[in-house]
Amino acid sequence: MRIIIVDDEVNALHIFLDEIMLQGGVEYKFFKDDAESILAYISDKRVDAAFLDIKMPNIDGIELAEKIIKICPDIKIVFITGLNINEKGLPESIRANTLGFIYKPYDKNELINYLNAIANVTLSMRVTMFETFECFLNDVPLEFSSAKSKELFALLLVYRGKTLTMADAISHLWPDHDKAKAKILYRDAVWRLRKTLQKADFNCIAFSRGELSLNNDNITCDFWEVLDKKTGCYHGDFLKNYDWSVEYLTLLDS
Amino acid sequence: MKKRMKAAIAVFQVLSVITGVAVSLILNACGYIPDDDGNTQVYSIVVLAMLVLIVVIEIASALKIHDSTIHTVFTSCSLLISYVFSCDMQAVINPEQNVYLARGAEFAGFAAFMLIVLSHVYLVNFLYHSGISKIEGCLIAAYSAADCLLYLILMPYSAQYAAYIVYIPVIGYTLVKICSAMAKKRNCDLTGMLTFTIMCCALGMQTNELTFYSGGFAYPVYGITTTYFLAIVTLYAMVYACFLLRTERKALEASEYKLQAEKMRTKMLREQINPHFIFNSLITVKEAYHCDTERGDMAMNYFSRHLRANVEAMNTDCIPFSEELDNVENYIGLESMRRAKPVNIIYDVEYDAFMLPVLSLQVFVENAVRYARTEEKEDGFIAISSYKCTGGTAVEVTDNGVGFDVKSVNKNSCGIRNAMERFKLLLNADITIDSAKGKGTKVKIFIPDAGGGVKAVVEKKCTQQGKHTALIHLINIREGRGV
Repeated sequence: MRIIIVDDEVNALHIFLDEIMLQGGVEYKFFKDDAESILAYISDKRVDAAFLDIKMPNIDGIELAEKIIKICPDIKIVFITGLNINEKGLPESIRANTLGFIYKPYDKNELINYLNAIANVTLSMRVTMFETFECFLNDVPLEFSSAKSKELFALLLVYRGKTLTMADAISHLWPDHDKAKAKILYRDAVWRLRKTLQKADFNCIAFSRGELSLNNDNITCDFWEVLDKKTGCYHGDFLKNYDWSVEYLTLLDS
Repeated sequence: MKKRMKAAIAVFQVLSVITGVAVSLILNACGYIPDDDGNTQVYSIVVLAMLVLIVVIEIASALKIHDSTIHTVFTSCSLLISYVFSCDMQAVINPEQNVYLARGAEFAGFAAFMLIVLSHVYLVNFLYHSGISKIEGCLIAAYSAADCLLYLILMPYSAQYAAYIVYIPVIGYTLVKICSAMAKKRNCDLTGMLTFTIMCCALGMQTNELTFYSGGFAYPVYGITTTYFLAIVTLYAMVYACFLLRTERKALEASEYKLQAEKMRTKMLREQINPHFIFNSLITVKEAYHCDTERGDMAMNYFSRHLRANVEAMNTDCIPFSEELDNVENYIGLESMRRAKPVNIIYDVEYDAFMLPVLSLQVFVENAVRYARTEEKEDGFIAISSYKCTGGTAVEVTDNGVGFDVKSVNKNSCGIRNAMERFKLLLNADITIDSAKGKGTKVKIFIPDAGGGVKAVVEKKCTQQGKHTALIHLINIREGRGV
């Protein structure tokens, strides 16, 4: 995959970008705001995507995008911007090619999400429940913003697509709290989980009032494999930090 | 609108109804027979032309300005239909007095009258919530339909007036509702007056016609209906003239609102982006990078997003609740990094499909973070709750920290006062702050569903400007200035 980055003052970020790009096996080239050499490069080589700054001294990023699309109609464009801008602010001619916006200073996760989108990588999740409970999105561990939201996700994975009601979740995760407080903590966990998945661009849960359900597509889980008898043996404790996991151990024993 | 003008219109309404009825009675008593020289017919046709003109203008303005004038289209159409089937027009359309045609026209006239009544009831109810429930509305409609049927049944016996009398309670009831709605809401006096006037005139007109059709008058008293229509048209013009004046005033108010909102925003930003906060944050970022780059990146992300939210707030009034929670999270994230113990924040989100002023919720959260000292408690927390409640949405910021004296807040905290003012101005929201020393603080914000405020006013201003041009055209035509 080859991409170009056009930013009038991006040189300072070489090290930061190198690391990300090399990880994803991306070949990339920097350009200052010099339209001629950019267009020459594009007509010469196949480029998958262009990351363009919008406000540059010598050229406007949106105009540049129009020119680039004329040469290379299926190129994908990501705009880099300091301030807020949305798709409505873009001319019709470049909207179809625009993937989205990256805000300065570049956020690593945002950048990776876009690189995945350009490479047409379908995100898949790998979950380990034995020994330690971890979720990996394309081999990068997913970080949850609270312990309880992670635990809630574990429960959803154990439910494996079955609808999880608020009452169920509370009886598992907050059995000793009084009802009103447990509900608040439940909503907090749901909100955080929702935000975490949204940020990772992996929306595998259907959230509705008082109910959650997991969409199993693109998820592999060692616990499920054991249940499906794909692997006969397992090592380590099953979800050892969660008290409620005991009741599911019987499933494993049988 | 001035009180005196209101009174004058009310007197005019009552007088026009009374005069209409009195004139028809006197003419009848004198055995007045319409002349055949066609004067009445000319008179009728002129009024008809005026009504058609009104309908055309109303439809044109409704097409241009969407739904805001649909009700006036409906009203003027009903008036036109009602007039076409009145006994005045009968003299023009049906000079040979064909019985079937006359009967058909008579019934259509009554149906149109009911449409006028119903349209006004629903209109006033829709616009000003006069308290007619859905069931009640359906009942009124059903009752009207049944009454139409009764009218048809009674027609062969010349006893139609019974159907009319049966309908009077509905008219009375709805008039009372409309009046009380008008009394409650100050800003609906013009539409209310128009509604009231048209109802009154339609009432008088219908009385006159029915008395004749039911055999109360020996001869058809031509010209009376037309008199009523002239009254209606004149009132239309008067009300519209007032409407214009009010539009001007509203436009002025809207621009003032906008200015005020902008002033507040600027003030808020001056407080938010203070050098103290920026440099402290930079220290946090620096410290984090010294720890490790991952942590540094995290701090940098929080800080840059926080800064961006502030910069963007320059051009925005309201943002979606979930975005405001992102702003809160960035602030909390940064704040947690510079504290020994992270801030324990709970997002108790039950409902999130609503808007609120940018960086308004954050002010309350910031206040809790700074002054509630929740970190000193074992189970200290700051919770943001949002849920739907009757008539609106509630947002609460609760903490179980040290609490404070509520009376002192108005004098001391600019940020909070500013946020409260923006909530009030932009969303017409109510805010209550409860705090008890040692127990904690609860800020409750109630955002009503049909929030008035700048956005609504500005939108209204746009639609009214469209209406405005249509009205000027109307007045020009009436006054013979051409368009």
